[in-house]
Amino acid sequence: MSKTSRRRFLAGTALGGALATSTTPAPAQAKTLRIRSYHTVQQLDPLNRLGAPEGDVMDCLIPGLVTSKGDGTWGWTLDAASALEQVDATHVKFELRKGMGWSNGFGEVTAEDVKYSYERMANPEMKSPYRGDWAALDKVEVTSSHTGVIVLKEPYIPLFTTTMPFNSSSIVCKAAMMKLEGQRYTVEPPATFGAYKIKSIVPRQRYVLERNRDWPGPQVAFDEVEFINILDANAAETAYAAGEIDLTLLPMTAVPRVQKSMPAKSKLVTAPSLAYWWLGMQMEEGLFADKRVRQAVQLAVDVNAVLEGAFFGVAPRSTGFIAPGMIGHRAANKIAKPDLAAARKLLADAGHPRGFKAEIGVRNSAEFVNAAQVVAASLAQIGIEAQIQPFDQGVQKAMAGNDWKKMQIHITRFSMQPDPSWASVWFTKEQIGEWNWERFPDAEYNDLHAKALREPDPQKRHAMYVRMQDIMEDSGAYVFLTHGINPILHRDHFVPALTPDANRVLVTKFRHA
Amino acid sequence: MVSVAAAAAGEESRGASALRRLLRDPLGAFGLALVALIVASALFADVLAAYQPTQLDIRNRLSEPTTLHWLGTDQLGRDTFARVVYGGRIALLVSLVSVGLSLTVGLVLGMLAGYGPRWLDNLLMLAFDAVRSFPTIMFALAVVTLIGPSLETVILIVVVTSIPVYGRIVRTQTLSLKTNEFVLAERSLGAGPIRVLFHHVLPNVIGPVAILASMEVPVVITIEAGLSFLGLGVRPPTPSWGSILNDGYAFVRDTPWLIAAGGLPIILTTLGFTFLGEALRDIFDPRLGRER
Repeated sequence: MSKTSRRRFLAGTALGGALATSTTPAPAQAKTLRIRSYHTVQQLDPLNRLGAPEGDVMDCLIPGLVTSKGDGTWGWTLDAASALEQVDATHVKFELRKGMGWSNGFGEVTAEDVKYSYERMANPEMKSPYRGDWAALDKVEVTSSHTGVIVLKEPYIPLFTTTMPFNSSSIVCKAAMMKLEGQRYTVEPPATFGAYKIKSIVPRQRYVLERNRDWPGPQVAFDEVEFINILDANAAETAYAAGEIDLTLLPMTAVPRVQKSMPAKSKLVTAPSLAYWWLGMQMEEGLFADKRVRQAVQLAVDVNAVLEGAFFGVAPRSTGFIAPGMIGHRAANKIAKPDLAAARKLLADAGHPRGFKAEIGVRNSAEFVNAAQVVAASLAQIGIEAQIQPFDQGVQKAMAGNDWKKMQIHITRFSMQPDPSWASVWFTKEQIGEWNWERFPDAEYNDLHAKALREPDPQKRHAMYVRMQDIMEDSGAYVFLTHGINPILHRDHFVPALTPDANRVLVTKFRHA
Repeated sequence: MVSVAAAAAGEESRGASALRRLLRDPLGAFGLALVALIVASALFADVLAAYQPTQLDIRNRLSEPTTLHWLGTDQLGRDTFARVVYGGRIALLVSLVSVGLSLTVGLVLGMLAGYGPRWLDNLLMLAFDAVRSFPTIMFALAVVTLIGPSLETVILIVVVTSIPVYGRIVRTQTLSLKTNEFVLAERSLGAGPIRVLFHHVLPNVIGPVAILASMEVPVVITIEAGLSFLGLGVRPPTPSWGSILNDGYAFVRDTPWLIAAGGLPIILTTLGFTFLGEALRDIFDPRLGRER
């Protein structure tokens, strides 16, 4: 028996280390996919989900009747349903796949589960922030163990664009839910049935899924999927470079650099986002209650400089809250470029020839703070001395109670689904004190929003949303900035399936390259 | 007249001797030079910097050091050197104001605790312990969440968390001094507590506390930089070493210069004040025996 000397041990360790470092992290047919979650996965209940990364996990565990196609279009395809037919404007028939079994011994997935899931979302007592997705639901009629009919109270145009393919339509297990206190859960569904099942959960670190061999639908490419929490973008890039993750969302400002020096065996997807960034002005209290002051700000802000400074010029300017290619997208802004002379005149007419001090509230992150600094520089040119107030949890906190009176200007980003109503709803009168932070109270806007939800003619609907954005800009309270882009960096040994805006990662549709 | 002149000469020679000893101590001299350099660069920032620290030049963002921009530019094309020297003003302002305030309040409360009635001593010690039991950064985060980030908030946080440091030391010194014969003699001659505290106790405790204050300056600068790094300190676009570091971290893959420009002044200031404080302590603290 040979003795292990210190020298031999060191030599062995060095050799082992050399072999380990020479191993490339991406074999041709990798069995495990590691995805960065930029937001901690903590709410997998459709009622209370918090962000896209949670939706990505839910798609794997508790799919809905249909899902996004994942082929670069906004279309949908069957998922838990084997057939689905819209009979008329208020009735949708469905048939579930046979053989989908709940985990933990809860039997087969039935139409009763679908009824329970969708009526639960619509139930006002459950107080889901996503209740609006099913607000038009009257009931789900169960016609047999695997068939049923979704019955709406009135036509609801966004049903197949924003409600059905996304997580407001995830199916939960009725029998398992009835056993839970308050019929709610957080990070771990009481039963799952999707293409993957839970392997392990390390709270606030990783969520590991493994292939569900009983899933009767299309087979998935990867045996295991790890959703790894990495909140910091720089740390995520380091993890990617070290081979610890296979796919990550990048900050927009990273795009020019990554394009210039692409990591080995990697691809970069830069998809136009549907989200919308805008500068808003509170129009009810103080100096900004005067429309001339708001219009002066609209004319002073150099939007192109904001985009260049905050996003390094990779994100084009927006014309409203609806992205290009969608119904309601406006062709152009009414104010195309800054006009400082006109802005100064408006301020003088409003009684502020020498300007005044103002406050810009933003989320405490680099893109928002940089955008605000460029806006402050623009406003300085007409005499407005703008102070920047970063908020760790976003501007929403600053709008609580009576604090909104102090917040004159804010720069905000809202996420978006592929239907214009998802954006227009936040600027209605009913949202004043909630999400309508400008306190924009236009009656015509409200009327158009309600009508557009029921208007089946796409052209008429388009005209309505264009008019709504015109009204917003005319109020002086809005400067539309950008929709941004979603840059996704991934290994080239697989083809990711993403929604066209790359906001959602459709893991079950990934395939090997 | 002769005795007064002799005393003055004695004081002068004592001061000159201390300075000589400080300059003879390599670390002390190095610390003094660093502190002088940092103070001078902050005072003469407008002369040294060719650009305003908030002047944008977006097309020229993240440039490397050039003859025009000695430390390059940041993500908005602002001159990093200008932001560093103007940021020094903020660092020194925060540290001097907050150390000065906390020193003053800590002195008064410490003397009251040491010389006053037992219940007041207990009450003040309880308050000091309560404040010190919070980790400073947690306390800072809570305060910023409640009243929002600003220069004044940073100063308030530092003052509140530093008062117990001075208060405890002054209390201990006062407790030991109040039973000394010269204090007892003064009291027997009818001197009131205010006279005793400010004429006899204060001159004896101010030295050690002043040395402690000089060593607290880098601590305060680090707290300010830490809060600004987290976006909870001085509001943008006002330059601060912490916010330069934050920008540097966000763009560390684009350029290493920003993070170096934000970090180096913090390191140098910490070193400078620490070396200077330690040298002063060696010179003035009789327990170390060097004064003899």
